[in-house]
Amino acid sequence: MSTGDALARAFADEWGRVVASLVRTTGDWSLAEDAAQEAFAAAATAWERDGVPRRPGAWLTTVARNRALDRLRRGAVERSVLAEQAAAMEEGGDVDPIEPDDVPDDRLRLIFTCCHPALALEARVALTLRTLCGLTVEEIAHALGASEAATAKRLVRARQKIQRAGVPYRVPSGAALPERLGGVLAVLYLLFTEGYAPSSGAAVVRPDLSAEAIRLATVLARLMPDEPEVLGLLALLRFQDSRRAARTGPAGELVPLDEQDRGRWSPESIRAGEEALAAAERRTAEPGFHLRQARIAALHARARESGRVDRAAVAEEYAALRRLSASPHLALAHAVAVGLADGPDAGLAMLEDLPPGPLGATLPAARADLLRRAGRTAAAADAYRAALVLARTGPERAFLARRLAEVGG
Amino acid sequence: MQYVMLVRVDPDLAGTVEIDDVEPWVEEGSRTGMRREGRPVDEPATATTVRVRDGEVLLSDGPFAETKEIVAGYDLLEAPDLGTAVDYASRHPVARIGALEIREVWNDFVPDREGGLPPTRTEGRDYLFLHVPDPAVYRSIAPEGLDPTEWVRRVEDKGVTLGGARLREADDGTAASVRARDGEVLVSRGPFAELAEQIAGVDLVRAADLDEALALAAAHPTSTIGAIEVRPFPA
Repeated sequence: MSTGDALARAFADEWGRVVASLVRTTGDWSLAEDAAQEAFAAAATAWERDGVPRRPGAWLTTVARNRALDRLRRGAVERSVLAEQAAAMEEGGDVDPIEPDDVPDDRLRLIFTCCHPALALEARVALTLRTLCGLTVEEIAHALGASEAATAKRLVRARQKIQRAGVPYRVPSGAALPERLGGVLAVLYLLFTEGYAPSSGAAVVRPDLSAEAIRLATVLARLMPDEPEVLGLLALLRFQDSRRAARTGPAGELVPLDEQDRGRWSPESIRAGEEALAAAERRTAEPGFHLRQARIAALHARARESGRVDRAAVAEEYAALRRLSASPHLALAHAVAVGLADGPDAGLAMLEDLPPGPLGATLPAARADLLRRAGRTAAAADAYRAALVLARTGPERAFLARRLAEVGG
Repeated sequence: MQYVMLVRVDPDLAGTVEIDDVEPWVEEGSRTGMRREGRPVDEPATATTVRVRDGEVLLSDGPFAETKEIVAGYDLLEAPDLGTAVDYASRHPVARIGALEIREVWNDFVPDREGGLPPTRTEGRDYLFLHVPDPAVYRSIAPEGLDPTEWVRRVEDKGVTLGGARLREADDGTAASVRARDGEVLVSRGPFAELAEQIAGVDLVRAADLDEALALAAAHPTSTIGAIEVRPFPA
């Protein structure tokens, strides 16, 4: 392995762990990130010169910790509280390399703190990408379609709030855990969908964020191996990601699920999804929100082998999901599933009751699709036109325009 | 009479107008016995607003509303009447870059505890709770409809309360707002036209961390009929 590859791999595997450990020992988020950054910069030189160390993680943790210590010493005169912490860190006389096994994995605390509900949702996403994934401010700004200045400010504010308002650095226990875990999973899912289907802009797929979300979900599943919802989310992301290559056409246009070339779905991703799904189902008899969605994604993924989707089963899963959440998006998906299982008219009737506001273009687009399937082309064309007015991304608009042309509008 | 004085800062003015140090004002209050206590809170960006709807706790980042003049601290005043409190408040340096909102304490709202208070925690972080009920709901229910006595007893038992006050309604003639602009003192009494929502009370709690503070806020009846703004005091 080249030094560059080793560094890239160490970055993916160790960044979050190094930062998490330093946040715990120093209580200072900026210091932790800066020290981690310095350790990786030092690795680039040292590994090139001396070769890649046997335990890259241990090497990075040790260097980062020493850098943090140096900074605390330098600032010790005016920062007496941190100086005490520096002294406490020194007590162990830690000049020897730290073995990763000796250091508790603090990433779980870091995940829960980054995704704390007292932080604004955008701040949770940005903080997770910065501290857990090690993305730079520039990368985060680009990925989220925000300016660098706004992203930097958001990160500074979030760190300040954590420290000054006393957001705890720990995994919630007892009754608070399920709700807080739900919040963490929502952030990971949002990360994935921002990578998979950005809310604005031209490109259909931003691969980096989806990959980061899968990586974080995998880490979370390892750290909380008995949580069916974590495994459910991981399975869901794997199934959705398996369709990545088939999801866009040669000109970057959106290809709907039932027109995708199933041969281009990734069997490795589907296998990983099935594994996580089976593990989740072994752990609960009452599937939660993410596990139910993973089951729906699995029903679609299995069509790669069988050539057909069990539409009735999909509609049933959506009915069960709607008992768990009142989201209008879910109600829309349920109506579409019923339309595909029991005929377009059954689905169209269910769409009648939905609120138009929060659904945007998806409501007229769903209506148009069911009308098209029912052979009512004139009504379908009207609905496609209504959807086009509301569509926000380029690929979405291109898809709707193509459909409109197909129904002769 | 006891008054809670909410120190409100207009962020636009705070950046442009230089103000004097608050120390002489505090010293005057100590000398005359008019100022009993008071503390500044941390910046609005550190605030969290708590609501409870249908049993679900809803948190939002930041203060309750982006009102022009943001609460930056409080003082507890003791004065023979509102006019005396207003006169003292008018010399507060923040009068030039915001407003001093003076509100009469509704003293007998929660009956005094019999047999003295359990000891208060010595460790922890301190937070200010600003109670902001929805005005329509607040007026439609009798005061006993959101009686906080049970909550007060609970925080007393846990040793996490540092005190609190229910405030009389701002539009019943017991309240005033004091500003100083261009060398002139401006006092408005009675209804605060600019404030749709009034702060109906304050509480000071000492919690282990923000999670505990938010849980205490969510357990208070105000969170079900409005919101509670949770503001940390600087460490």
